[in-house]
Amino acid sequence: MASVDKVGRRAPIVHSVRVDKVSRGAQILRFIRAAVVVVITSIMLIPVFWIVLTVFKSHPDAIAVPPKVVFKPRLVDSFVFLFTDRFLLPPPKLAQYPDECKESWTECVRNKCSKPRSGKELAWYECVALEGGQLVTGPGKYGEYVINSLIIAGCSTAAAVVLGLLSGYAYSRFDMPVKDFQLFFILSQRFLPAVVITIPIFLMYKDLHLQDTHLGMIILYTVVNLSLSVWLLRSFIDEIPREYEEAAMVDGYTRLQAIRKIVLPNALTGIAATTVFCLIFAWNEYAFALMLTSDVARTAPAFIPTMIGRGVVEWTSIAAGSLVFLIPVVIVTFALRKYLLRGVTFGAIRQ
Amino acid sequence: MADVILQNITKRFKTVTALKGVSFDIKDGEFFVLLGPTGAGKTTTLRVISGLERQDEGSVLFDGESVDHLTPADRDVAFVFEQYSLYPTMTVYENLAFPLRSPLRRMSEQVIRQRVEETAEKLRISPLLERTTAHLSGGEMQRVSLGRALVRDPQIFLMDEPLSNLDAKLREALRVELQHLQKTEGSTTLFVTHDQIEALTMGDRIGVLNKGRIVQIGTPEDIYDRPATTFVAQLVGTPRINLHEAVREDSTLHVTNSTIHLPIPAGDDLPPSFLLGVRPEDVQIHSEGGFLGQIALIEPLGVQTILHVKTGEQTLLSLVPGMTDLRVGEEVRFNVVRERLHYFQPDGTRISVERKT
Amino acid sequence: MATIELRQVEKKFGDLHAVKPMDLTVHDGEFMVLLGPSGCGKTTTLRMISGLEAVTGGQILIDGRDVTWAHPSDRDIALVFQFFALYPHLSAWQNIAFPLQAEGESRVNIEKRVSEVARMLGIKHLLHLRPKALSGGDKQRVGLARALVRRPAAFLMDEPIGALDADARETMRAEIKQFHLTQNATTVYVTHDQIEAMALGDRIVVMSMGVVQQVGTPAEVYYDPANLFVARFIGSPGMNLVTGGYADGVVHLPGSNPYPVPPAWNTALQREMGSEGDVIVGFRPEAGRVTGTGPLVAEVYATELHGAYTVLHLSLNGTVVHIRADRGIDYPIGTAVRFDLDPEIVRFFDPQTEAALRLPFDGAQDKAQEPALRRAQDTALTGGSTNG
Ligand SMILES: Nc1ncnc2c1ncn2[C@@H]1O[C@H](COP(=O)(O)OP(=O)(O)OP(=O)(O)O)[C@@H](O)[C@H]1O
Ligand SMILES: Nc1ncnc2c1ncn2[C@@H]1O[C@H](COP(=O)(O)OP(=O)(O)OP(=O)(O)O)[C@@H](O)[C@H]1O
Ligand SMILES: [Mg+2]
Ligand SMILES: [Mg+2]
Repeated sequence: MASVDKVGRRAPIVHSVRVDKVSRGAQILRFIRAAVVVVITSIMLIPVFWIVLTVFKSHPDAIAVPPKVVFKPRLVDSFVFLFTDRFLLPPPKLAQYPDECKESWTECVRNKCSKPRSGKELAWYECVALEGGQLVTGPGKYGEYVINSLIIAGCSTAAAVVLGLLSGYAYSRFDMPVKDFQLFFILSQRFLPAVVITIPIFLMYKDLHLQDTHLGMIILYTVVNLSLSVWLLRSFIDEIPREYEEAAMVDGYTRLQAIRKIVLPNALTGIAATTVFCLIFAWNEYAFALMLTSDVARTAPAFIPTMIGRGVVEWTSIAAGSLVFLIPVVIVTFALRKYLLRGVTFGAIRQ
Repeated sequence: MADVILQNITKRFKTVTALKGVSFDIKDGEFFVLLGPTGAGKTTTLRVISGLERQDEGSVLFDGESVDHLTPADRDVAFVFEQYSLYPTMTVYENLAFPLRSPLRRMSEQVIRQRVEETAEKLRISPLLERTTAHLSGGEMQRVSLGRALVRDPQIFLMDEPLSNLDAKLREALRVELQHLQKTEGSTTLFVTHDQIEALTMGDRIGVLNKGRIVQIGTPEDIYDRPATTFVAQLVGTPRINLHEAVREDSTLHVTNSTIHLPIPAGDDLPPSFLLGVRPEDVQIHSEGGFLGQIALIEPLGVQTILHVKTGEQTLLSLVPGMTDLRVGEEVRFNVVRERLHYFQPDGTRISVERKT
Repeated sequence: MATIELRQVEKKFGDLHAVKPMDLTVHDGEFMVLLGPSGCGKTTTLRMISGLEAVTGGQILIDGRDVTWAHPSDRDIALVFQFFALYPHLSAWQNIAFPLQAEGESRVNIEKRVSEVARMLGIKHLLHLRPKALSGGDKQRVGLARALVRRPAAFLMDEPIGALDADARETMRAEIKQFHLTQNATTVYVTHDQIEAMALGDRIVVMSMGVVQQVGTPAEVYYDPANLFVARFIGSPGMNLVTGGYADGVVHLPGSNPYPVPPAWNTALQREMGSEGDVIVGFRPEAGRVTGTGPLVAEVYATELHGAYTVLHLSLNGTVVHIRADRGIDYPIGTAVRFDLDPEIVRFFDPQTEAALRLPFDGAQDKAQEPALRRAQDTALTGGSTNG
């Protein structure tokens, strides 16, 4: 068969009907199996579903006991609360606003309500806050922190993938002394959990003035991700026959040109998979971020839990924060899904 | 095109010595075949010539000048790999144009297009030029691989078992095409294979390689008619040569455990015990044959039939033309062609005998 | 042992008609080979017989019992994929006994069967060894023993030696045939290698694109191919097929080569073609004979030494044909060669239907075997000076 297989490329055999699989009983069994899968998947998705529900609840609905599944949706409130800093207006101050401005925020916008003292017209988000009896004092920190997250996760992922690609190529193609030990050493970067090494790193970063800086976090995440990306990309490059580059080199190209023209296009699957893995790690990382950043370089995951500790627990804006936080990873994963389906299996089903 | 000389090439890998003092030369315009079983060092030889691998000892000469210091790109050879040599992300046209677009060559797109189209014409793949390589059949792919070598005008073509992954029909067709092309273009070619039929049918000369050493170099006729060792004798020819222990008793020759006693042909000077080789086509079934045997098995192949003839304890293979109506178990008489016997020392080297033709 | 009968068996995979309705009877003790190019439906047919694939239509009978919808394990057949995958951690004996143990055979029976099959294949002295310690050939023999140790009503084999190298394949081919001769088990054997099919088969089923093209003995498919497909597929190289215009007992082949039709065929051609029309002349390489007086002239395109003989590839104005020639004469590319065709083994095909034309009296089959035999003897008589 081997020789035939290599030559005759035909569509893969997708499914096959076995005599013992066509009976009525077998069909029912198959249906039951499918149903079980659907049920389990739904159970797994309940937390996400609950977050989405909470985002659109009003604050009282969110903390109601027993929890409400049917409620009047509030579309923007939680997002406004998430992105602004506010304080609760004391009743005398609140009384200075006309009633039609406090009724509902849409009314407030339509009536062009303004602040009682300065006469400045209220923006729509200020109307939303007013409806909750609050006054907006300025933009919240969350937006800034999401941007921090984007910068840190993006840069460290890019760095990890580029470095991983180069060293993965080298490990795949060249003979070098104690290669296996080197690879093992690289992997060992991942042996210790973050909580164990944060303190030493904290001390080190303090001396180097890298604490609470973007650069510090990018370097840290890159190092942690590098072991994964070197290993992953090496195994992907291992699967690209070296004859490809050798053919190019015999044809008159240098090694670097051969890598750019031949290896890169063929390693796209691996690059995509590695990118997503690195991005997910850097994006979700919590322990380091909590210890090593305070404000300038603070990332969203380290911030969200701190929202709990500020006066009233605003569950709806925490939910909104979580939801916003999910979006970038979902977008990237979705954009790369066609590579991932093959990539995540570590090349096992690649031909 | 150039003539290529290998001088005492030795190549060691960590645990194995892949090539041990390999020397041969390929003349300008010659089709030289390197034949050997798996692991013999054939691919390694090609890689040393192309510069992809650096030899530990010895040197490679193109047109009398050493190329040992040159990179693969600068040696200007064309390499057809066993598999994988087409880039899956490119179309057939781009694959063919790729070697020409090398920064070393600086060809204009127009010249490239012309060269690619000429080559495609020669290999009859013009209709495929815009297809991606993923959707080609095995034969088409191998043609494109050959095309990637042929678009250039290199010092030498190095081909590493280019036909081995194809099915039998395609292999036959491409074998003829390749030979015709090489002869009409007069290109210097080193063709590597483990398939003895390919070697016999295509080569001007054959070098037989085993365990990193050259065992014999010669024309296909030399290799087939005068194998230097039992290894070579068994490597070429299907079905395999009959090889049996034999002893000399005065002027007759006796195959151990069989009914075969032959007067030793005049002038053949033999040691007391040796190995006797008889090609299956030289075991001829004949109603008045000198030896008695019994048919143990019949394998009709159409154009000819393999008979397994049991004589004493030994089984001889005999190749007869056409189909046969002999039955298994039947007694037959047979002869062996005395002029075409092969004698080997017990250690496997050929005992050469003077023969008047 | 058993007969296997397929009645109008067919298989569709969605739109793909993988096996078109097919009738086939495999007799008790027969070695039947399914032969065809990749994707022609051989494996699918075999899997339907084994029950691993449900038929889309038709009936399968084993020993007269309808097993179309029987579970694979109820059919008393053994399906063999490849011979050589041995379990490295088991000894040769354990490897061979494995399928019997899986069936829950008694210990005594296992002992008996294993030593029987080991004796038959000449590996009795190796049974205690692990695969690592075995030579390549012995490994394959152990693999073969494991495949054959069971005693089913029929063996179904799907390219069991396809993954071996050429040398080992030749040896194993003989071993399988030997085994079949001693056991006479009904066997259906799938291969895409026509040499293997010819060497092994009692009869051969030639398939293409899900359709049976011809069922016949090796001699029948070789000398009397039913159509162009079989003519091309069988033989190495396949039959030469050249189209020419037929008129008045002469076929005009390309390169202004008039070929006088052998008298025996003239009536058949006239019946089929009328007095003129296109016809395809088919001849095996061994039918060509280089002679100074031959009616056909062609230019040498390439030559190939095949050990004992040479194959000449000749270009008839662009159409390349292959003929056998003696060694020793040099045929430089481009020179002209005259040749003749052996009238006994020339065949004719209708270009429209692609079917072979038959001689008017139905003696074609005897004719096919006769000349071959005679040729075998001729060569034996004239071949070299022999000892005797
Ligand atoms: N990069 C390498 N590292 C270590 N050993 C190698 C390497 N390349 C080849 N070898 C060894 O050198 C020997 C010769 O290998 P080579 O590939 O030249 O054989 P070959 O004749 O081409 O065989 P095949 O017919 O299987 O392709 C083998 O024993 C092989 O294992
Ligand atoms: N389970 C399946 N689903 C869809 N198509 C199938 C399935 N099994 C086989 N086919 C198709 O049916 C056709 C016949 O396949 P089959 O495996 O019988 O070919 P084959 O003759 O055994 O070929 P090969 O020599 O390559 O093994 C092919 O076109 C194949 O792609
Ligand atoms: Mg090789
Ligand atoms: Mg198959």
